[in-house]
Amino acid sequence: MIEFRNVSKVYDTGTKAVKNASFLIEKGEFCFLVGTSGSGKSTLIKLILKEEEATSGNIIINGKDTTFLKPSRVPYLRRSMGVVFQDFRLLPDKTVYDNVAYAMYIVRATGRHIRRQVPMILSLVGLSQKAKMYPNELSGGEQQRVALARALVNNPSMLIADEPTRKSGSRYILGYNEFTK
Amino acid sequence: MKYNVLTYLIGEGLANVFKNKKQTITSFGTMCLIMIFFGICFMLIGNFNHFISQVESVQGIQVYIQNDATDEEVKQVGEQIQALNGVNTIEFVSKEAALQHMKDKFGEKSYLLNVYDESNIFPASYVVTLTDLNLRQDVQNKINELNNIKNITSSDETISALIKIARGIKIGSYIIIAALILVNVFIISNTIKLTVYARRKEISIMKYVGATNSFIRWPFIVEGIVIGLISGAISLAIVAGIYLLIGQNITFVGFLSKLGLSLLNFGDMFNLILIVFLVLGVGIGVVGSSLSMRKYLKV
Ligand SMILES: Nc1ncnc2c1ncn2[C@@H]1O[C@H](COP(=O)(O)OP(=O)(O)O)[C@@H](O)[C@H]1O
Ligand SMILES: [Mg+2]
Repeated sequence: MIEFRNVSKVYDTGTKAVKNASFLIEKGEFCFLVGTSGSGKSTLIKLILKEEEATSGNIIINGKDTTFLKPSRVPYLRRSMGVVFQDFRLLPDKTVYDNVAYAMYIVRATGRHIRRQVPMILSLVGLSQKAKMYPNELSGGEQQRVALARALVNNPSMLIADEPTRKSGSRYILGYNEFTK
Repeated sequence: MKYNVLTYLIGEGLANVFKNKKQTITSFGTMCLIMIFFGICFMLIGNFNHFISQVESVQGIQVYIQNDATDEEVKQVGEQIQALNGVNTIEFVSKEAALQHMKDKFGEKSYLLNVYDESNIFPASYVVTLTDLNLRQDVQNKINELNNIKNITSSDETISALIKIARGIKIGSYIIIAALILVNVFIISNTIKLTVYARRKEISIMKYVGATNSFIRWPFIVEGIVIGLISGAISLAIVAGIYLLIGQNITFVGFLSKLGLSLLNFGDMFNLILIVFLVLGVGIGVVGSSLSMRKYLKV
C-alpha cells in the first residue's frame, strides 16, 4: 500500500530529515515507526501526504507513484488515508462535531449520512458529550481524539497517526486498533 | 454537486460574513463607496447622452430641394441621403406641407399666402437626424455633392458648443471611472487578502485533510457575493436618493429647461444601474476572493 524507494528529504535549511529510506507496508499491516524526536518521523508522513516534496526517490501509494502527481490530484491522495497530525490541525472556528463533519462534506457525503456517521464516530472516541465545544475548550488528549475521529470518519483504507501514544492514553489507541481491522 | 454540500458551502459563506465583523464593515464601506461613485458617474454619463440626443433630435439638418426637381428626383435624393454613413432618420416635408407650415406661422394672416396655392414657391425638404453629431460636417458635405440640392441650413453655434462641453464631460467621466476601477480593485483585493490572510491556517488545514481548491474557495466566493449584493442594494438606494433630490431642485431643473433639456427619469436608468451593480458586486466578490486566495491554496 505504501512503498518508499530510496527516498531522501533535505529541507531548504540544509537539514537532512530523511536519508535514503526504503520500506514497504502492505494492506492490513500494523506498523510502528520509532525514533528520537527530530529523527524525521513527521517528515516521512508529510512526504506521504505530499505536504513536502521528496528531494529524491519514489513514493508509491496504492500502486501509484506519487512523484509526479498533479497538484489537482493531491486532495484525492489525502482523502484516501486518515491522518492524525502531530499538531492535530483542527479548525479553530468549528465545533468538534463540525470538525469531523467537514471531512465528510469534502467527499460530498449526503446530509443524512453525515448526521448518522459523525455521532457514531464521536461516541467511539468518547467525545459525544463535547460535540458542541470548540477545540480550544478541550484538553490536548481530547483534541487528538477529535483529530482521530476526523481521520476515521470516511472509513479510510489507511490510518496514519503521528505520535499517537503521547496524549490519548492507550485506551483509545486500542479503540481504533479495533476499528481499523 | 449534492444539495447538502451546496447548502453547506453557502451557509459557510453567510456565516463568514457575520463572523469577521470589522473586516466585513471595511469591505461594505469600500464596496459602497465604489458603487456610489459608479452610480454618480453613470448618471452623469446617462444624462449627458440624454442631453445630446435631445439636442440632436431638435437639431436635424434641413436639406432644401430645388423647386424644379421631379417627384422621381426628390425620391432619389431621399434614398441617397438615407444611405449616407451617420444618417439616423430622414423625414420628408413636401412643398404643400412647407406651405401649410408657413400658413400656420402666419396664423390669422395666413390668407396672405393664398396666392401661393397655385404656384408654391416653398421648397420641399428633408429633415435629417444623425446617429452621431460628430459626423455632421461630413454628412453635410456629402449632401451638398448630391444633385437637386438647393441649400442646407447649418447648425446653431451655441448648441454645437454645448455638445462639445457635454462630450468633454463624458470623456472626463470615463477617465474618472477607469481610475476608480483601478484604485478600488486594489483596495478590495487588499481587504479580501486580509481576510484570507487571517484564515490562512484554516485554509491550509482544509487542504491537509483533502479539500479541493474549489471546495475551499466557495464559501469565500459566497461571502464576496453576499457583500457585493448587500453593498449594491445600499448603494442603489443612496444613488437613487441623491438623484431624486437633484431632480427636485427647482433652480437646477429650471436652468436645464431654459436650455431645452430635461433629466432622465431614474426609472429609465434603474435597470442598467441594477445590472451594473450586480455585475460589479458579484464580479469583485468572485475575482477578489479567488485572486487573493491563490497563494494560500498551494499547500
Ligand atoms: N519545515 C522544515 N524546514 C526545515 N527543517 C525542518 C522542517 N521540518 C522539520 N525540519 C527538521 O527536520 C528534522 C526532522 O524533523 P521531524 O520530521 O519533525 O522529526 P520528528 O517528527 O521525528 O520529531 C528536524 O531536524 C527538524 O528540525
Ligand atoms: Mg514529529
